[in-house]
Amino acid sequence: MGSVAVEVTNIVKSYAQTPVLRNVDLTIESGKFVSLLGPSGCGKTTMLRLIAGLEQPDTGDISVLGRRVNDVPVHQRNIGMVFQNHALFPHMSVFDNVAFGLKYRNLSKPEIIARVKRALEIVRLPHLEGRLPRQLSGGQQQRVAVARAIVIQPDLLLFDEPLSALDANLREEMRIELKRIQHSLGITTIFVTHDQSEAMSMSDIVILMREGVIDQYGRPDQLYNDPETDFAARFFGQVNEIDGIVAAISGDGAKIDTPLGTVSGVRGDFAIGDKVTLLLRSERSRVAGQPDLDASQLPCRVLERDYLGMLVRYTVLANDQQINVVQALEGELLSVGADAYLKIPTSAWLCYR
Amino acid sequence: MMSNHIGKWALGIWTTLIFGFMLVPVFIIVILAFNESALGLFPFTGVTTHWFVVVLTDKDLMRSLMNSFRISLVASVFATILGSASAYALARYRFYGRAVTEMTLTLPLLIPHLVMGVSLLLLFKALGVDKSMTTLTLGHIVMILPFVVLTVRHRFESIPLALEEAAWTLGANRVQGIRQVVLPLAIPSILTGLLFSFMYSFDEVTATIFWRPVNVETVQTQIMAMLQYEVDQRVNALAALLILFSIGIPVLGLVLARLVIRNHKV
Repeated sequence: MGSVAVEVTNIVKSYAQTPVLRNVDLTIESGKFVSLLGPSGCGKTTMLRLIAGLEQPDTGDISVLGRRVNDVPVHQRNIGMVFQNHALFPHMSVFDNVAFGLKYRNLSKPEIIARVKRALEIVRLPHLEGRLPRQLSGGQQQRVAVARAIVIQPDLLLFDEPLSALDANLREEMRIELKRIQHSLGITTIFVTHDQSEAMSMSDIVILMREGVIDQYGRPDQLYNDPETDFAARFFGQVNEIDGIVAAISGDGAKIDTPLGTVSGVRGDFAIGDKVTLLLRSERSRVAGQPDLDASQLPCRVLERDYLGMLVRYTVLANDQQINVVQALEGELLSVGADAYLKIPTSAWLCYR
Repeated sequence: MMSNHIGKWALGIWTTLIFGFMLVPVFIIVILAFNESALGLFPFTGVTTHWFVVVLTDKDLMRSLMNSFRISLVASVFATILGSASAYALARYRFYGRAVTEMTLTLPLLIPHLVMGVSLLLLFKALGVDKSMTTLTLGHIVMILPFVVLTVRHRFESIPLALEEAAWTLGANRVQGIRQVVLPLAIPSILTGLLFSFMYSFDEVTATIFWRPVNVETVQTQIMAMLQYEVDQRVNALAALLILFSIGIPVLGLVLARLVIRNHKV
């Protein structure tokens, strides 16, 4: 249990009558990498900007390191922020960009030079000091932006979808870089993104937001394995919808009959005969060309096939149910129209009322 | 296709005619300025630069030229400072009366100079203020403000707010952010605004006739007065000098702007 870096209480924020954040509370621990994740319009960027001081809440309190900062102007909050389009000053060299924040912090010239050099080393761009931003590649620009933010040794590091403008390969590379940098510096980091795989791979804690409220938060594996809401279940990975009827209830949970078999151990508030919709994870199901000794597999037929390189997505028809399955390629690619076998482990099922 | 070719030719000829109509008088005046004859007309009796010397040594003409420079310089500097500040406010802030302010600042462009001349004159009279160099300069400032506001505001709006926000997060307050980030990037536009407004004020004659105090002439009003009585060769020489000035300064400004912009591309 670390100390609390950011405490946000009862925040309400509207733009011209449209509510963007409704009574949001959140706490962020020191040194953690926390993602604010959600679809467009969920309020994640607004929340970040409120913490930064670029916007003011209508009601509510924001505290950083125990100090209430509602009335503290942006330039006094000691935060480092990385913007979506790097926002490097185009008329200044890389060195001057990174040194910018240090000018306002009473440091001697040699100290500034040393700190800038160190920051550029941390982002692995040691020899580009004299260049102008427009002479750098997209990835380099973003890294300079990170250097500029960390060189001031801020209390908080805020990222506003910094990787959205980069191409896929670069994004992967930067994810690892950013995680490494944050880990070695230990600065509390808040990372806004709409990309769930980005949030999952980088974060200690993921805060899932939806329409101005927090839907769920926790470790990435918690959110993925134990989503508490329908929204959370559908947000991570892909799901299929299966209708079922509650057949029996016992101490272990309900037994639900579905066209794909009986699912037992489902916890929830059910009565026998209830109609429920179960969610079936695409990534947990398996399609195989050959049957094996597992009795619970279902015969099916391949309707569609999407080859994704490392993965393959099959759409199969089993017992009149159309199911999407995403899996690593094992053996041969099954062709459309082929007979196959569908295996659904218990971990693939999710259920919500 | 045949019609395309004919169309292009016709457009070319038409464009040349229009430009010719506008520019030939200018060329003729410059050429005539070298005529020896005192009459300031064709035919050429000889080629000389004598009249340029006459103009440059004429006390009254030089005084009116200095007046023009003084008025236009002061007016354009003030207009640039006020106009740039207004442009920043319009580009960055939301405030009550913003649309009205915007309209008011650009309206002078639409008002005929004659109307401006008379109406401001009436206003000064109503306020009991006498005509002076100051009121004349104030009138010029009002007329040239729109140039600055339009030019500079466009530039401010193309500078992303994120740049200023980045500066704030790094520890700069609003003013420091403007000084370190916005101004360096906006300088070409501000200088352009200064140049445009200076030239516009320098060339202005209609309203100036209404606003000028009795003994004050600007070079434009002086030329108008001289032209009322005769076609004076001095006018040709003076005009030729002014043409050189009118072309040369903006060209210089463009060249400077190009140099500055190259380093400051957003």
